[in-house]
Amino acid sequence: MNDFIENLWSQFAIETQEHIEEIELHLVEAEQNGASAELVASLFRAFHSLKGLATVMDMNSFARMAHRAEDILGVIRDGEFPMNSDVVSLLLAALDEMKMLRLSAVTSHTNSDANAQLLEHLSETFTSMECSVVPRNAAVYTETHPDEPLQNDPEMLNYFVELAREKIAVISHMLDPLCTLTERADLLKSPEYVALAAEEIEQLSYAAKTMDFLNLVVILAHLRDALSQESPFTGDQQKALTESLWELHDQIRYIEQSSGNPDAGANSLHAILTDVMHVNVQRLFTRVLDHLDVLQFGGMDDDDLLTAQSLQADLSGLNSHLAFFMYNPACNIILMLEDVFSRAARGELHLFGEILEMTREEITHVMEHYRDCSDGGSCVRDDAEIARNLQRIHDYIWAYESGCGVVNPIETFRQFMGELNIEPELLKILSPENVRDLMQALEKGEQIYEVTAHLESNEEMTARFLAWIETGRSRIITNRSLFIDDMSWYQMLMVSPMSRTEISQSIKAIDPGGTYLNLKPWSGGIPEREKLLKAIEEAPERQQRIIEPVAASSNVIRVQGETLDGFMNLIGEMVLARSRLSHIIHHERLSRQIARLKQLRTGNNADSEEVLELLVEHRRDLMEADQLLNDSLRRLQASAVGLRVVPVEMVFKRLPRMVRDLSQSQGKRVRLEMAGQDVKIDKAMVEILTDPLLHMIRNSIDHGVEMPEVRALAGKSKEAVIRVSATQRGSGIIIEISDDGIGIDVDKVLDKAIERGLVQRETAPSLSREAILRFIFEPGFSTAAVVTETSGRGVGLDVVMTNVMRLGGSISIDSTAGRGSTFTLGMPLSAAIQEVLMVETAGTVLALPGRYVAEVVEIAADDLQSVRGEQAILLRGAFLPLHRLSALLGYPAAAPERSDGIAVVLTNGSQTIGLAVDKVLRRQELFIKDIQESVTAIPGVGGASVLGNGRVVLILDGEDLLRIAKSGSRRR
Amino acid sequence: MPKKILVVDDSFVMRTLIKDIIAADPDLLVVGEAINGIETLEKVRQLQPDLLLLDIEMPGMDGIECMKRLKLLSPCKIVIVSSVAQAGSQQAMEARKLGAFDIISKPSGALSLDLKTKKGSDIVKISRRALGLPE
Repeated sequence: MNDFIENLWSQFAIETQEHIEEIELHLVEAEQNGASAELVASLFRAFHSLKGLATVMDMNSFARMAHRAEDILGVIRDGEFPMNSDVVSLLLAALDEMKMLRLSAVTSHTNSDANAQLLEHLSETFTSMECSVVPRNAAVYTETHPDEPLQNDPEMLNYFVELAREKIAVISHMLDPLCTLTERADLLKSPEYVALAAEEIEQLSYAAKTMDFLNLVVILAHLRDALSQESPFTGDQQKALTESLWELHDQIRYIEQSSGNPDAGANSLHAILTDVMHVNVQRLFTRVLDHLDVLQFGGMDDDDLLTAQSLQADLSGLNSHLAFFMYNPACNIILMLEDVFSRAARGELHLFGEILEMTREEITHVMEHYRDCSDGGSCVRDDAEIARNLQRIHDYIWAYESGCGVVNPIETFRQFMGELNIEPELLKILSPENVRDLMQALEKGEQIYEVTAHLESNEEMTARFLAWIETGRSRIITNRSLFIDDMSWYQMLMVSPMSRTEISQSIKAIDPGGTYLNLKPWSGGIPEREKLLKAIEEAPERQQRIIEPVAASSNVIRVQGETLDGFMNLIGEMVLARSRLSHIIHHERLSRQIARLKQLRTGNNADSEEVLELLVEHRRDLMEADQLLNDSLRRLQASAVGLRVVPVEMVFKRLPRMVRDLSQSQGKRVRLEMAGQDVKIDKAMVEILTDPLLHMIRNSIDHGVEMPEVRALAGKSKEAVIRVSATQRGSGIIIEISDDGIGIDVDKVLDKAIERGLVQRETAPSLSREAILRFIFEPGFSTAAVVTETSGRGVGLDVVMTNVMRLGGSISIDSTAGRGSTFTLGMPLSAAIQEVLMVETAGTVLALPGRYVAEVVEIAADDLQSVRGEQAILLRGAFLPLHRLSALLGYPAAAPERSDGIAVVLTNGSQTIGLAVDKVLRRQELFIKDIQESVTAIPGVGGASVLGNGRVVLILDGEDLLRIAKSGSRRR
Repeated sequence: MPKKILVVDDSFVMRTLIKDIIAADPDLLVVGEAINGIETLEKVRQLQPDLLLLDIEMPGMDGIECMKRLKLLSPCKIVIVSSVAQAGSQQAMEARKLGAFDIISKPSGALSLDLKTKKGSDIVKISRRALGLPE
């Protein structure tokens, strides 16, 4: 016997054993708990396998026994006969017989004879069972037609739907980044990735072909084509791809509906596509605003026509996307704007600041509206307002269209009116609407007059004049104020159907003395409508490109941010050099020596007299020059800081998305209102501000804003409002973050503060409201428990506070329980220049950040106390912990510590310490040099600068010093 | 280049036998085995065989469901190797409708020396025919 057969025998032994064990288990189970269909099926399969195995090995008795059992189970499986205990007993008997047959087969490889009686019994049972069954298998199978398409087979359809769902999930997952063109898209647009996606599509297409879903096959081919374009993936490809996916979605939806299968993947496609739409809308909004920025604030080298063209394309995209999410007239505005910029792109329309501002406003409106719609909020917008705005845009197009033979009516109009001796300043301020009104008036045959009026001295006259305007047929189109002889006058452009004589008479009646009202005489005769219209028609060609958008480009240049940084550094160095110069000029020893020389002079040495005079004169000149230099440097520095500014919008633009995501994830409804986006801040402040701001808004949503139902119960609108506004104040900016949420309960905060030992119960009543609220900025002060009583993600406001302080800013808070909270963030305009107090300790000059310095006090030996082993000074009746600055910084004590001296009181508002130093030198401003990490790694040090004498000085970090002081005293 | 064959049967003994029979023909190559329908779908995707020798009665996914699902995945040819699927049976009808090239019963008589000449030759002959190879 060869190895192969031997191997078969041993495998036969294993497999048959497995099946026999399984059968035994199942039969017992069937007898105890009844036989499920599944159980019967596996019994059938096991006997069937035994039969097959026995056949292979020529064990015919074994095979026959298994065959009989299989037959019986076949009948039971088809549901024709119950699995009763008789059957189970019979099958168990058969199994026992088979165990014996198997044993003889495995041990001697011989086929023993089976128990004939048992075989007979099995056969009889089977026959009797089958006789009771009406045969119907044949009937079932004559019904099926071999040529019938597979899609009519419900089982096949199920499998197809299952496959489609699986494939589409993968396809949409893979194509999502390509559709949304996120940063990942480029990464994923590798040949391998595309090949992978294409393979999935190919597989689905194969299945669709099998099922005869021919439309689907065509659509999948489109999809594959859209995908297999050359890299890089462009907007057009993205569009084609998204369109194919929509087609796919529709087709799958159709299959779902016709098959009664709820999920063949259309939902996942729809989700992705909706996401894509949202992402696209966001992107389009951003792009539109970016283009507007370029047009409004861009440099000379920008091609405005090209930008207008891109803008038009993006508006077009926006329009088609928005139409998907919201049907309403708001889309018409986008359509109208699209028209504006398509004309502009053809050079037929001038883009003045006015239309750009209008566009910005409208886009912002539509954005808010879109956000409301997608948040499920109110989707209604005032139709009248839309109509009004449409009219405004329309007017603009009408007024400023030019080129291609069309003349600009507004300019012609101005020229014409100028000929009529109308004040040019008045004409300059004419808006398109004004011109439109004027044209209409002229067409009706009305006349144009210029009236100057002084309305502040004679009340009676003024009342008469206003009544005349109000009730009469004359209308003021525009006006401006001007001063003549210290009196304020209104110069008005008026239209009226009345003749000049009538107007003159009316004016005389109102102001008989002719002191306050003045009708300007025409120089060029009476304006005639025909003449004007003719002038407009014949306007010379040269007007085709009249004025470039001045505000937008001609006097604005763009500079790289790095260039500006370098510029700032250079100015900083100049400031340092200047102070060094000043230091030399004002050198004390020189002053003293000059004074001494003056005392010593004898008057008989002309040479030395001359030298002295020259010296004094020279020094005075130098001082003057130094003063001049100082002044102009200050101005230069101020304007350089001004150059670095950007609108605070750079920070704000991240907020809406965050508010939306956060509030949605928490089931809250929040509307974000922003104001003062155009307030300018230092470029460097953008990053600095962003974190605290995000943190505080997150805090507001997490802890301040209640759930909609809670708000409703409290009688508030379900939608909470978070307002973020920026204003400029002096040399800093103020950012206010307010919410109308639950607010902070001052009493609870106070209780908590007392409980935590932050304040004594006795002194508590003297604390101001603001002082109590400030406790929430204390480290580890669980705001969550106090503020919202929900379990806390009590994000440390103390961290925000510390960071803000570090940057030279401040935070204050106001809150009314149940009504909401307002956080006010004050930040300096620039982070680069710091005011410092120069001190000397252990022979080293150091700079303390000015904003941490509360005061400088002299320490008398009597004031020194030792409180619980720590040094402290008695300051106005309170003990102030005293630390030697050199000790805090870890400098070796060079000299025995003096028990008296000078202390700088350092505070961040919540912690106050005294810092003993050897000398306090002066307050001055330092330009912080690019801070090196090696310097800031030193505990207590925040940066470095170079002094006028060329020495490097370390700028200490107030927050760090306080921290070291605190941990130091704990350690001891 | 021999044609790629995937052998599907839940019994190791059966698979061993069938592989042995196929190995006799240099034009045919068994590239893989599977023990149920689910594994078959996976292996077909991976190995892309030219022919499937498929059992009907298997735990998990049976041969018929496997054929239906396969139809959506691959043009792979299928020969049913099963004693259940005798001519005229329900499974045989179904299998034929789903495009099975032919239905043959399982090999038997491993001990008698005529295994390869009798039943064995059936498997090879039908497989060659299904793959369009000369007999």
